[in-house]
Amino acid sequence: MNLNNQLSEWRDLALQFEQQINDTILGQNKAIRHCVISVFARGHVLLEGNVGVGKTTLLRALAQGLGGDYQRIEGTIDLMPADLIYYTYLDNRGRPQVDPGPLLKQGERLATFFFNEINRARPQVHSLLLRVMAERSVSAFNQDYQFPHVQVFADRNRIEREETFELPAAARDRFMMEINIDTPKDDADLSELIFNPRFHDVEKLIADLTSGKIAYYQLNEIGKEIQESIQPSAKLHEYALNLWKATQRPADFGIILSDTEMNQLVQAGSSPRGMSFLIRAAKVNAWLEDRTTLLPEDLQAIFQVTMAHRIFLNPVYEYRKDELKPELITGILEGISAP
Amino acid sequence: MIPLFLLLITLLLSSCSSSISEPIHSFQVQTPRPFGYVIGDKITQRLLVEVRQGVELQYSSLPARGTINRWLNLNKVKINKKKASDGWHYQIDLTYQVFYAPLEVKMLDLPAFTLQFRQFGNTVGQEVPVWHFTTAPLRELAIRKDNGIEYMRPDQLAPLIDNSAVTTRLTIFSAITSLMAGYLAWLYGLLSFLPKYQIFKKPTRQLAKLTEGDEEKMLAIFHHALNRLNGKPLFKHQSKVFYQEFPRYKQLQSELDWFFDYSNEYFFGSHAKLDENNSHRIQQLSKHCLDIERGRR
Repeated sequence: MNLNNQLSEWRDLALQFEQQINDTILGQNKAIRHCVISVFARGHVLLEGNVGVGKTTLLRALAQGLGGDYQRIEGTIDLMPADLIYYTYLDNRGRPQVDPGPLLKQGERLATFFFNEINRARPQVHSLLLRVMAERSVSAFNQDYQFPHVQVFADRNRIEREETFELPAAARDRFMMEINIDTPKDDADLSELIFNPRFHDVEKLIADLTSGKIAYYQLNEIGKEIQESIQPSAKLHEYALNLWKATQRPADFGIILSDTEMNQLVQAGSSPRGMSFLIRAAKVNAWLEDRTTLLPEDLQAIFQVTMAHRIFLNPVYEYRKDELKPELITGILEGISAP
Repeated sequence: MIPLFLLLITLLLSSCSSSISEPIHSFQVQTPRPFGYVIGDKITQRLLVEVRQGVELQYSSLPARGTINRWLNLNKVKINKKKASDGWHYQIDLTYQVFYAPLEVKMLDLPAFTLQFRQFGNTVGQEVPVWHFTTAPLRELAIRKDNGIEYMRPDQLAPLIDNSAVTTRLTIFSAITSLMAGYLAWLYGLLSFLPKYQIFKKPTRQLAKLTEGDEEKMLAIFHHALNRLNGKPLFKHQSKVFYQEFPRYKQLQSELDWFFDYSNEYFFGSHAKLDENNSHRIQQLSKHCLDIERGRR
């Protein structure tokens, strides 16, 4: 089977995977598309949204659909890094025992790691997670443990701010995407979620998903093939560079927001790592659209979720970030043409 | 005793005979102020006469209407005769007009005349006395020219009729008409000088000069024109929103789709070359857009 056929076959599986999650989680097509992109771009994802909108259900559905081993941990204020690596207990003969924690338990077979309510965990835990995400490894018991297939999904709710720890910029930058999950807008979807008993039993809903059609251990290889099969043109390089510069100096591109001193708005734009994530995710978008050509619209499709959490506003404007960030992103996309 | 009685009778009869024989009971002349007249002024003299029953005014005894003398004219004679308790009451209004132009204040007079009444074939006269009045010059008589300025000032101009309400209405309705005409012109795309109707003018001219060797330039020019029309960069996946915003361009949907596909292929794909047919197609597409812009299509 040549490479094109293989990519085409994987794309069919990816679209089936996306479809069955869409059937399970209603009204979140865009967020699900972004999650699917992150799976094949091999990037970590942070979900943010209100309580009860289905963040955890979405992550569980993704893990179930992907198959492979997974672990889940709940963020709490007293959670320490060691809790992720090992736990101690007395066995039935009263002798102390040390067993591997959630991170080490499956070893290299660990495919999906959930971190629920990540902002409730302390910075020490964020720090450990930062290494897991960046290097896919961790040091424990005088040796390094590798997790070559791990993908971290984390979520946090945007309502509660008490007893929470804001994720440091370095940790947020490790997430390829930060996806907002909002309540579905469509009345038919809302009605279905409220009245159809199928959506009331989350355990059964998740268990009904077909698992493992795409082998988790193949994802790295598939991701690599996708990245290599699509080569951006010089014009697209130029477009991506302009987008990057605009995240740092929007005023240079004529982007103006109301009641804002544009020269002072942005404290730091996207990082090079952020831009590489943008291109990786854009290539997967092109692949899912059955194209071998990377187009500006691929970058636009994932620009918001890959860039918004990488743009840091001046503290003066931080209190207006919920209003200014989307305006800035829209301004950048509408301010830069290609060609 | 008898002489005294005769004397009393005689006195009584004499008193009765005097009141019975008087034909004119009362006579009164009413005149206005006797000063302050100038040339052209009118003076009305009113005569009030009460006569006994059977006494008739001789109208011919009144002055005739017309010129009295060289400076006085009798314009009007109005006689009002009413029944009185014992006879007749006459009100005679004589309206004179003075044409005397005096060089200084001068005393003139309305001439006297005699009113005549007829009674049983006898004629009774009642003298209307002369009436004096003064006239004054109307204009200056001394020559005064201070600093070369004429003493006489020009006549006052006739006051203009107030037409402000009409002018205001005219202004308002003109403004409304102009606005409506402007709106209709805008609606029908007649304001071709506006930038809105100039978007494809220059690109169409520029594209006409280019050939198949200038692929990148041709594509860029037309992209730029579409971006200007859209107000922001236009990409193919946004065409649905574009057609909602500019529905008249939907008739070019297939051609615009072809253009975007071709552009994507050229700039982001295999860098395909434009052939002569394709360059002609872009030129035609720009012309069609210009036609839509001008409302010709």
